Order: sequence, then structure tokens, then C-alpha cells
Amino acid sequence: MKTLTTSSLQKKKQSETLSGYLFLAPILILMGLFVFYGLIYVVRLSFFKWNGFMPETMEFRGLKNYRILFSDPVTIKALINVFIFIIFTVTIQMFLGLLIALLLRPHLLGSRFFRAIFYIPVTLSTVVIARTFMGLYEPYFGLLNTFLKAIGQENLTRTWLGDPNTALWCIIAANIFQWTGAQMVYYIAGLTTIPEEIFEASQIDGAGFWKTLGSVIWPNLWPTHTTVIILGMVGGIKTFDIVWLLTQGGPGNATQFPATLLYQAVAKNSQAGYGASISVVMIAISVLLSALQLNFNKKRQEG
Amino acid sequence: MKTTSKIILASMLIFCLMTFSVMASGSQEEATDSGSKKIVLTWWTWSLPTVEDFVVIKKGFEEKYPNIELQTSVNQMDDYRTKLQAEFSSGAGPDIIGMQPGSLLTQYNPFLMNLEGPAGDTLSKLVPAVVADAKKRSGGDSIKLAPLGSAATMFVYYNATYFEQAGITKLPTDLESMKEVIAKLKATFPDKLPLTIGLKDSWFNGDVFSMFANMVEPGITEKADNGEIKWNDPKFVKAMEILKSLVDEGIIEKEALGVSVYEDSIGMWADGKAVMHINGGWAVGMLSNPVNVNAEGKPYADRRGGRATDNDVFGAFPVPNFAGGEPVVLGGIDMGLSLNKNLEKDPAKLDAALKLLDYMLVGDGRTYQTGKPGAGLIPSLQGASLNKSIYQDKASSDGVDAIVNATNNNMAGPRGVSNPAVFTQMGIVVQNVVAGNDIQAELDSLQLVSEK
Repeated sequence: MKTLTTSSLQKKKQSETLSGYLFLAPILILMGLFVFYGLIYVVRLSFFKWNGFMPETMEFRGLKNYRILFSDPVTIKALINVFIFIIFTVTIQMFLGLLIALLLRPHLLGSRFFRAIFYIPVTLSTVVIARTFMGLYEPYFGLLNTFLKAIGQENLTRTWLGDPNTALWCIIAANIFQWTGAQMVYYIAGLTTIPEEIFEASQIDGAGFWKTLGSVIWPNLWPTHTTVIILGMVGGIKTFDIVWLLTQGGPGNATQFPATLLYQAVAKNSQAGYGASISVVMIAISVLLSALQLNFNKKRQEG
Repeated sequence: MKTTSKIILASMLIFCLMTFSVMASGSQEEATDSGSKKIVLTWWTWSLPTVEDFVVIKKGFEEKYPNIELQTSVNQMDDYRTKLQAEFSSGAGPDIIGMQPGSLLTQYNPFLMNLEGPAGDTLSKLVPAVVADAKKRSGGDSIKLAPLGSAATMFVYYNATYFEQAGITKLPTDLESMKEVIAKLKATFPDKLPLTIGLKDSWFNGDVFSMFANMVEPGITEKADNGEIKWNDPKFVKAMEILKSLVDEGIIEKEALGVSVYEDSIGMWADGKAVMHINGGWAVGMLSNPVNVNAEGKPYADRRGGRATDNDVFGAFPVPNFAGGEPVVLGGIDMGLSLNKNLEKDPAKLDAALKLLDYMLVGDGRTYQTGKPGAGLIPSLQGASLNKSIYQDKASSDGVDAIVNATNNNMAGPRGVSNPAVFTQMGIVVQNVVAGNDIQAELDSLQLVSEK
């Protein structure tokens, strides 16, 4: 009787496993077709010289695309730019998002209204955001320079998007404006997971705002921090639209990002193989950064 | 039993999904096949003809040829390149392709039909020099684009009303006279910009590079493109030094690096915030007074919303040669129509496409495009000129003549180069030189790109 039960349990388990895989099959097939096949194809393509049109003209060139890529100072510039972009956008958006989320905790009057206001930039097209900021940064009659002139600070006026020293920071500012609302939403959700009793207990213990933030809120929000950081890093590596709309990677190559280099290589210069090598590097960086962050979070939780 | 049912259910679900998707795609093809007996021609382009132009062109063409349906798509240039690449790399592509000589034609040349024989009748009615240019641009042994119209760069578009108020009676023709004009404008209008140029746009800066290079030696960019001279040759150094000197003299301001050609530069000029701005000859419609409107009531002069100068008069002249001598303009065929090589497999469709070429280059279609008021392309048809009905005052009429004359008779060389990566880098060099970088190092990087 006991043997029979074990056997039927095993059969049941096998059947459940099989049905699980069958349910997974459609999405696995689609992902295999559109994600993994594409990924493998791009990796393979990165070892070829190709103009992106006629497959018969593909010419195997081994690691040459990668050698050209890493010996090009513009690539290094693009990588530095993207890391600066990630560090500043992710950090500032995190702190601003958390700050706004804390200020707009549900019991405050008008918090829903202000949540909606802060979330509006997230819902807008990047084109709209870029056009708005172009008006802000326009060198002759733009809002920023006009304001600086109006308050007697003409020496601070700049060709914001045309100056290699300021263009990247202008892009960072526009990105922070657009996406801080999204981080706010993550933190509002994260804050709901912290029991109200903990806040009350910290108040009874006499903890002020900063003490509560540092000792109660911040540590309890680590899963949210992880999500925000990973999404920010992966999104940062892929950043293209706001850069292209505001500066097209210029002036010169001052605001090149890996994605703008990729676009230039493939869409403008017909260097599909070289472009593929840029893609592979971008994927590798995304995976590496995400793994590092997950590992850090895991160790933190274990510790 | 319950588990077995789940397995069966899941299997059926997958089967149904697959069957449905196959049936759906099959039925779609069927509908397309059986839904229309007309020959459908797809025509993709960038910027020109505009969506509004296509409404008129499509109506006229389909009335003349009721068995042909025209499906059109107008795109921004960057999107256009991306779409074409995706289509042609999959072996498809539109039937009619809006084509630009230079990198675009070089890229798609293998996918295009030789028009020399099939469209011979139509081509024989065009200006022979323009047809010869089309052949040269196609590689010399075939004609891959039927020239719709020509255009040239660069011209200074100026506000003649402000010139008059500043007491400027003579148009600048060299560096010294340009400096005098700018000094007078600065004195008369301290709050206005004397001259704007949009150096933020990569598509524009390659042309700016070519303009300065050809001031030093006409035809030099074509030579470098053919490998006869290096891109870091002392002549190119001299050209970039001239550009740098204009920045140092304050004729071109560093702020221009933050200015885009259309959104900012034209906007400021049309708003009366700037007196002159530099653009290609294709913007000639801007010289028209906004009282001149098309059938939809829109002014031919697309002044980007800037209406402060509606009562002013505008004119144009070629950018003076800052290296000395006559102004140099670059260009030739600005836009042509090419036919997808795949049409050779479908005689009925090919016949329809050739009818369209004839309609657009020498037939009624031309009056809706290069022959319409406000057109920026100089027509390729023998004996045809721009429609001047909307340029009623002397300054704008003279401006049109200056652009047409320079485009037809004073061409120093072609716009653009065959290698798109080089053209992109030429624009980057311009930006970096204006920003103050080392000229020789910038040109060395350009030479390196050409060798990659």
C-alpha cells in the first residue's frame, strides 16, 4: 500500500511538472524566438564585417570589431559618460523619489494631488520632455539664460547643450526630471510594506526624522532600493532617446553614449557588425551590473 | 484524472494558439490578394513630397491611372534610413524610393534598378547635365536615380527690412564686407543676433565642413572622397582655420553649437530675433511673404511659428567665400526617385512605376512638386524654373534668382560624400573646431575614420 502511494505521488508530481512546462512552453518559444535567438545572432554578428544588407557580403573578422571598439577613444568617452549618467541619475532619483514619497505619505492633505503632479513627467513622451528642455537650454533666448540675465548673473549663462562641459549635465537633469516620479511610486509602494507600528515605536523612542530615516526606513526599503537601482542601471545603459533628441551625441562626441554609438554605427554608417559588438558590450555591462547589485543585496540580507 | 485534463487542456491551448496564428496570417494574405485588383505602388520618402503634397499627387496620379493605387510614407531622414535598412535587409523594400545622391545612394545602389533603358524617354526630357550627374552619382555605368530636382548649399537668408533700417545697401561678398554688415547690425539692433547658424545638427554640419573646404579649393571634398587627397591635408587645415577665425571674429558664435537649424535658427530669424541665418537653397520658400498661402490656407513660408516679421521683406545670397574669390555652392541633384530592383520580376508593376516616374519628372506631378509655388528644388525638366508667383518684392525675387543661378551655373562640387561615417565625422570636426579643439588632431581623426 505504501509503495503504491509513493508511486502515485511520483506520477502526480511528474504530471504536474510536465503540465507546468507545457504552460510555460508558449512564452518560452516566443522568448526563444525573439530574445534568445536575437541575442545569439547579435553575438555571432559581432565577429563579422557587414553593412547590414546582403548576407552574402558578411566577412568574418574575428575579434577585430572589439579591438577597434576598445581602441577608439570615443568608446571610452561613451562608457565614461554612461557611468556618470547612471551614478548621478540613479542616486539623485533615488533620494528625490524617497523624499517625495515620504513627504506625500497618505495621511497628508493633498498628497494624492501632488503624487499625480510628480508623476506627470513619467507619462509624457521623451520627445515632449526634450522639446521642453531644449526651450529651457536654448542659448540666446532660452528660459535659463534669460533668467540668469534677469537676475544679473550674465556671467553664468552658457550654451548649455552646445558646451562640452555642460551638455551631459543638461541631459542628466532632463532625465532626472522625467523619471523621479517613477522612483517615487516605487518608494510609496515600498513604504507601505513597513508596518506602521515600527514608525510609532521609533517615535515613542524619541527618534527624529533623520534617525527614523537612517535606522528604520532606509534598511527596511532594501528590496525597493535594489529594484530602483537595477532598473536605473539597466535603463541607463540603454539610454538613447533623450540624448539623441537633445544633443545627438554632440557637441563633437561630448555626449556620446553606447546606444548613440550603436545607432550611428548601424543606422547611419551601415556598420552592422561593429554595431553588434557595441550591443554585446552593452548587454555584458547590464548583466554584470545587475549581478553585482543582486549579489550585494543577497550578502546584505545574509549578513 | 485532474492532471491529465490539465495536460490535455494546455496542449489544446498551445495547438489552438499556433493554429490561430497561422490561420490569421493566412487569411490576411488572402484578403490582400483578393481585396484589390489594382496595382499597388508603395512610395517612401523623407521630407519631400510632404504629406500635403502627396494628397494632391496621389489624387492626380490615380485619376490619370485608375488601375494604379499609390501608397505613400513620409519620414524624418533618420527614421527613413532605419526603415529602409530593415526592409532591404529582409529582401523587401518599397517600390519607389525617395533617393539622395551620396551615402544613401551608395548604400542602396545594389538594390536599385538601372533606369537608363526603361525610363529612357523620361530622362531624355531632363537637363542633360543633371542626367549626367545622376549617372556619375550612380557609379558611372548606370542611372539608379531619376533626378527630381537640384539644390545647393549654403545661402544666407536675410531680413531686407532690417538691412534697410541699418543702412546696409550692399550685400556682403567677402569677409571684410560681412564684418562691416555685422558691425552695422550690432550697432542698429543691439538686442538682435546678426547671424545664426544651426551647428547642433549633425546632418547640417557635414555640409558646413564641405562649404569651408571648397572655399579653399573647389572640388576638394570630392577629391578626398575619391582618395586623391587626405582629409588631414593642409588645405583642409586652412579651411578649418577659416571657420575658427569666423568664431574668433564673432561672425559665428560658439552658441551656435546649441542651435538647431529648423527649430531654433529659422525660428529666431522669422521671429525677428536674428537678422540673417544660413541654410540650404531648399529653404527658398521662406522668402515668400506669409500672405501667400496654399490651398489649405497655410503660408508657403514655413517660419516655424515665428510671425513677428510678417510685414518684413526677405532676401538671400550665397555665403561669401571667406577664403577670397567667388562664392562656392555645393550640390547637384538633391532628390531623385529610384525603383526597387524587385520590380524587374513584375512587368505590370514596373510599367506602373515608370508611369509614376514620368508623371513626377515631366508630367502633371511636377507642377505639384518642383513646379509648385514655394518649392525648394530646382526642377530637372529642360526649360523649367521655379514658380516665382509668390515672390512679389525685389529682395525675395532677387534671392530666388541668386539661388537658382548659383545652383545651375556656379556649382563647385557635390554635397556629401560616399562614406556615411566620414560625413558624420565631418560634422563632428566642425563642432569640435568651433568648440576650440585642435584642428590638426580633429582632421587626423577624420582621416582615420575614412581608413576604417
